[in-house]
Amino acid sequence: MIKLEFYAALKDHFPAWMEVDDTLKDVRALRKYLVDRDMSASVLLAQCRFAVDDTFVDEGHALRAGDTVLVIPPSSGG
Amino acid sequence: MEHLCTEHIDVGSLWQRSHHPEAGGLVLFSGEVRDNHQGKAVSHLYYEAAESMANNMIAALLEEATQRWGLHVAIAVHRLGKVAVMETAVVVITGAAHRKEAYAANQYIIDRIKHDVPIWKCEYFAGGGRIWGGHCSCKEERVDESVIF
Repeated sequence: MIKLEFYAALKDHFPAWMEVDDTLKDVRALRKYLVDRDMSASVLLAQCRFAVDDTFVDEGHALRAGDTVLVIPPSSGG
Repeated sequence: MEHLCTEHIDVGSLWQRSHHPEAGGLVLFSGEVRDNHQGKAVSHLYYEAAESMANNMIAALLEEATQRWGLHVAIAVHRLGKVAVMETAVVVITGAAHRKEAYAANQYIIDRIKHDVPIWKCEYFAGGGRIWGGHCSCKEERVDESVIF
């Protein structure tokens, strides 16, 4: 399984965390999975970055069982 | 965590410990909660973060700025949780031999914190309702059209 953590406005669409099947091969597939799960979040998901092991990863980053993936909306600190 | 806190940020205390014999210029930026957003009265803000990642990114950012501008002082603390109007949400203090480097480093650090570090604000309005984001006035958020389905 892969653990997903959601933040900020994403929590209006998803729980704070959830687990997904580890057949999702990469970040691109994960993003599509999330859009398919909640189309109303598609614009926000298109702006999100993803991080594994507290490091930003790109669309082609391969996901592995046991990963914790942070789904990160646009930052708005300060 | 060193760079994140859930309690009041004691700006005076941070300033007191910022002085350095080789720093001829010290700059302090305090990001404070405004009572309005686009004409609507704001009652308070709420901040959350991907805490471990955010703390590590701020630490790396301070180290990067220290190397780039030869800083003698580099401090940044961001508040999390509920923050009232006029309270400090984030403070950045930079000290360098001369003011030019201290100003430049300070602006770089706060810009990176606002744009890159995984911290989010939620604005709560006095008349009810809330909104996540409140994106920085210096940057338009853009949708990456290559990933829209």
